Amino acid sequence: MNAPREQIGTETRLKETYIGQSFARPNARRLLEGQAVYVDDIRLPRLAHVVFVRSPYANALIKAIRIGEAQKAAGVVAIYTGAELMTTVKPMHATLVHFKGMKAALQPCLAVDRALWQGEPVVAVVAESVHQAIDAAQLIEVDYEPQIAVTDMETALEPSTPIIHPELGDNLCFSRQIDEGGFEEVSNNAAYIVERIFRFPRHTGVCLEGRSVIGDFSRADKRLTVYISHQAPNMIQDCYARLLGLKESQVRVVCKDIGGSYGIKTHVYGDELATCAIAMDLGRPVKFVADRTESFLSDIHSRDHRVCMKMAVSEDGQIEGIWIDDLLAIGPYSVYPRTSVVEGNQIVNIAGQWYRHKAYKAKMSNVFTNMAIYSNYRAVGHPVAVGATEGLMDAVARQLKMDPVAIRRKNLLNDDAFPYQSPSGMKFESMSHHRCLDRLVEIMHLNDLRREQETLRKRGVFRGLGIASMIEITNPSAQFYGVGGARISAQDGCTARMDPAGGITLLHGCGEQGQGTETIYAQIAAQVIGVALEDVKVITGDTDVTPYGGGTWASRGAGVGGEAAWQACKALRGNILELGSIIHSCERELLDIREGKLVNSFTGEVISDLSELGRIAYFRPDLLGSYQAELSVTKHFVPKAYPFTFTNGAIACHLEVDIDLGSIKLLKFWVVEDCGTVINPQLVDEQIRGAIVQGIGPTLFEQCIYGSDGQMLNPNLVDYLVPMAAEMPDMVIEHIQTPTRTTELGAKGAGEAGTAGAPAAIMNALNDALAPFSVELFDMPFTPQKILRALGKC
Amino acid sequence: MKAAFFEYVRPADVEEALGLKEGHDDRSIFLAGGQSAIPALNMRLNQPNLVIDIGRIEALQGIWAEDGGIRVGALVTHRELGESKIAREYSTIFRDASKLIAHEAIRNKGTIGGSLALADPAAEWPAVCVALNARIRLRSRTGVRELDSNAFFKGTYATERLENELLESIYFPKQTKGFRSEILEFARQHGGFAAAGVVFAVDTAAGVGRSVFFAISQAPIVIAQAAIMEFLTSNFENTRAAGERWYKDQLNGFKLTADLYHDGATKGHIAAVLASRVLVTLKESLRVERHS
Amino acid sequence: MNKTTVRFTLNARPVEVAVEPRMHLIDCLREAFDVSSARVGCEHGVCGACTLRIDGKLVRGCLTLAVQVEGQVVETLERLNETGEISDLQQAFHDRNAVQCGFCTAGMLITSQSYLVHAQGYSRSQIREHIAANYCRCTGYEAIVDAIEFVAKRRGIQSLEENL
Repeated sequence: MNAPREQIGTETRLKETYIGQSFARPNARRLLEGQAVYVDDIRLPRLAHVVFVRSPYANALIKAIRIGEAQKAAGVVAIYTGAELMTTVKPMHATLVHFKGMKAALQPCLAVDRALWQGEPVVAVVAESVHQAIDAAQLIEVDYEPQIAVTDMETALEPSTPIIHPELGDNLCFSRQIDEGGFEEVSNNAAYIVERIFRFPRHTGVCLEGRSVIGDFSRADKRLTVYISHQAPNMIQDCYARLLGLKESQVRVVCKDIGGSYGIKTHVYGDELATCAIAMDLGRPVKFVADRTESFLSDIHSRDHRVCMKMAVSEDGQIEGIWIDDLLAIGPYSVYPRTSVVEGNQIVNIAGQWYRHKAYKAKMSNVFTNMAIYSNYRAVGHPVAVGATEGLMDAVARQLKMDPVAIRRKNLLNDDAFPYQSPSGMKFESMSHHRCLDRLVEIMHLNDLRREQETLRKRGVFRGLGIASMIEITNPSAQFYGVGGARISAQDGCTARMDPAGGITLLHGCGEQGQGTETIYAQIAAQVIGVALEDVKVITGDTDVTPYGGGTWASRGAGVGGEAAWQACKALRGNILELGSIIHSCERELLDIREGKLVNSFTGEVISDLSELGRIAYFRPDLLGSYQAELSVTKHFVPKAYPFTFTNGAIACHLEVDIDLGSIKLLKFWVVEDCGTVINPQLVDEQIRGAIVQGIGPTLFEQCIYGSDGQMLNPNLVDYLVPMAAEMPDMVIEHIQTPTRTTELGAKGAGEAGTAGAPAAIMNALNDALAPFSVELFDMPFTPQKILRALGKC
Repeated sequence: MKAAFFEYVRPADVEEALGLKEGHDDRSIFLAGGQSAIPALNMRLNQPNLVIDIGRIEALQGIWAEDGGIRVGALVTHRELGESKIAREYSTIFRDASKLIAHEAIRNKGTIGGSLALADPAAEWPAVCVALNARIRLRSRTGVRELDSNAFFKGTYATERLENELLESIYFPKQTKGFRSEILEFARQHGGFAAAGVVFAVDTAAGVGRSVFFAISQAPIVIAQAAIMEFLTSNFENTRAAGERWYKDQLNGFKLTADLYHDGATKGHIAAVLASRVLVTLKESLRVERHS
Repeated sequence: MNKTTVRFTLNARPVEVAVEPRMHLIDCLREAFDVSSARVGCEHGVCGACTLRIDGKLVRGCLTLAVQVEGQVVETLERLNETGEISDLQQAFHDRNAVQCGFCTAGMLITSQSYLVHAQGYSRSQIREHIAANYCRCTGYEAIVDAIEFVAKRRGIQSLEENL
């Protein structure tokens, strides 16, 4: 692991004391002792429960809603229809101006007059208990007039297909084209054109804790408190205030422990919003917790793509041009406020761009359907872009009879080619593809495994090795959402404070969902200020208390949030030293803070405890003359130099195919990832492991399976297969560290790369295993049936 | 997903349980281990008026030797059956099959009686019972009848048990000296429902066998094998490939039921592969026995 | 709606509660007794988040009606935490970062403890098969396997992989 670099000219020297070390998470202890507090654990007086009657149809007119006996059922407090809530809740309209030409319809929080996806909430039933609410909900009769459901992305734009929103003119939400460098001419002159079609299955996050929210409105205070399992509290504050007709200052959002999120919980959901509107109407707290079936039907789905991709290749295997046509099927609405077009947009921004090429032609079509609502989920678009690109690279290698590593070495952007602007317009600050690939080949003992593969093939055992080079967007600037008009903050803030007894408290706008955000900020504080880790307390997730921030998404917690913490701690340290110099009448340069004590910076001799400085500053300011101590400092940070900070890595998969059963056994994964400065190696590695397994899911197991009538056939954990421990492999992780020069911390993001690369690595390993049979598969998930059919067994 | 309201009663004995059933017939269910019944209740797939909890009735518990065979109480859990010495002495199939059922927590509560009464096509015990020619004892207020398990399973969630009958016990008859039984299934995830499975019952002395396939059709499929010893003692170079072809051919004559991930043809193929692998296992272990 | 009184031992204390028969044990523990470590993840017995101990055995709390535990001994993470019987496991999970969001953790610890208590020998693949009963979305499982393996070694359980 490379040592963090030294800063010149500042007071802060990067020591290897805290940053770069694998500390256990202080805030994980309570999770282990049964003291976690998720939304459903919160007890409030007069708490009522809301459940939703949901449309069983993918597309239906709502002719009548008969509440009937439900109103008088035991424990019922109130019942609301979409029409009633429309009077107090503004509809959502998820478009962003920088996605030119994007169309989307207004989405009410509960369906009004028509339901457009199976699972759309139609009626809200509030009762004293969940059981009573469900009992009452069963008494409600809704007259639906089913309509034809649009479910096929390939025909969604055909004239014979019904238009879901007639006012929009067609079922096209957004399309985008890129044409740089003249692909037609390049391909006309190329020695080879290699083209493949890839299918990625619609799937979803399956957070173990269902989406949960409590809305608590105080009529006296005129304030709405929202306890929510969510990744972006300030975004919820902003959206809910505007949609519910409140001032921003009237809304407080509190995020305690969150039972898994992965991007599923970065959106505004109609049922959660309705819960808060209902709380306002009733003047008592109202809770909604999505159960497992509801989660499958109403959490956002993602990654439903048909990708055609081709490369124009020279005689000796150089990529000269890349062409991609990406078709994806979202739900009937664009999800608020991030929209449902970011995924496809990112795919055409990045597909193939880590390879040298002159011509790039891309087309992306994003169509509305009557399947579940759809938006950003961990690694947004990258699994598709990396999957198609890397799958195609291997197909090129097979066609040209080149080694997959050799062809990558020939075409990957050189490690010294940066800064670089890709044909698609992406700006890469620095990458290390070759170093990562070289190290990957080394740690996996690729040559040994190849020899073993050959030996085993003769015995009828078919193993495969697959490699993928990948990139991942992290640390987004305002280019991501802000310029589009979305009030989603790219900046983040940290308040660093020394308390009277000398302890450090950080208040931060990013949040904790288990990845270790609070721990890495504590490590930064400990190192930058010079105190022990256990003397740092980190508070996140309360918009009344924490600085305005963007929250946790796009792997921005370390790179953006961490930099804000770094700057705030640096400033606080300066103020503590200044206070020390005043108290001890000496030059600041003579002072340092080490292990929580003010020391002589040259001799290391202890001058006083920080608690002594605190005592004077807070309780004896009369001793400071005219000097005003300032022991609470807030700093904000937003990336500006680059629209995104790209990370890069290389990933490999070793697997064995049982060609008689069509099953795959994953043997091992290796990853060499460059995410810049690594603050806590264990936390980063565990993010990568979890991300890989989330990438394995849809490659082998996960799929939201829909019938032609728009009904999801498998909204339960028996029929929707999530990765479980027995089928998952061990994973070896290593790092190259190319810090970003755009921040002092140098950290890039790390949370999503594994998900981006795993599908490609598995696909390439599978096709490598089946190479003796001249079989290629590109249609995920790679189920036994697909493999058996490809092998001609059934 | 919360269950709808129901009345609950825990009868002290079988007679009381049957009396309660008679009074409520098709609007009541027996509750044994609950590992299949309670999910259905939670998801409101099933909304009975009355749940009759038979889970503590002593007469329905226990495993004991009987006439050279063994009798297994309906309430014997998957775990108990898998760990039972009496059962193990009778056949290793109980240990082997129980290991395939879900996970420890489920095996601690789920019962063989519940599994047979439910007749989920992917369940192991129905196929084990059929393979071993087990007899299923049903008791009603009017008396007792014992049904050959070969005739018990009619289809998905459908058995010969009448609404007013309680599945009381299962009798596994005395097997011949050369009796061997093996089970092999393919599930995409450890502990998950089988996509295909087979139970073999072979009389190596008489040279006959049966393979009972499960998870590929609504009810277990029985393939009788008069010539099984041909496979097991032959010098076929590739018993496995020959076996696969033979079973595939046999299964062609049956209507196989697709699931979400495997159509009929895939099911038939996988089943044939599994059966051929059991053949190889049997062949190998018989060869070892002959040489030792 | 008629309620039934059920008496049982909850985390070493005798308790009594009147519940509707339809209420599953997790909901009962959470609502009547504020046992927040009892969690719901799917309510159809697959995810394992609801795993607890009844009469010393692993049980899915969501597949148990509260009325069924009459006279039985129910233990949740709070109890295991109190007795210290899993303190080494908790420490290993902590050190190895085998817990992220924490939602699977109660069930995962109870399941892991059952494995360790009953294992005659251990191997990584056996550990994986045992915890295949519990869904975790955050960790990808490897850290959990590492933590359990570490404790297995510490508790003197024989490795089954030693001679490979």
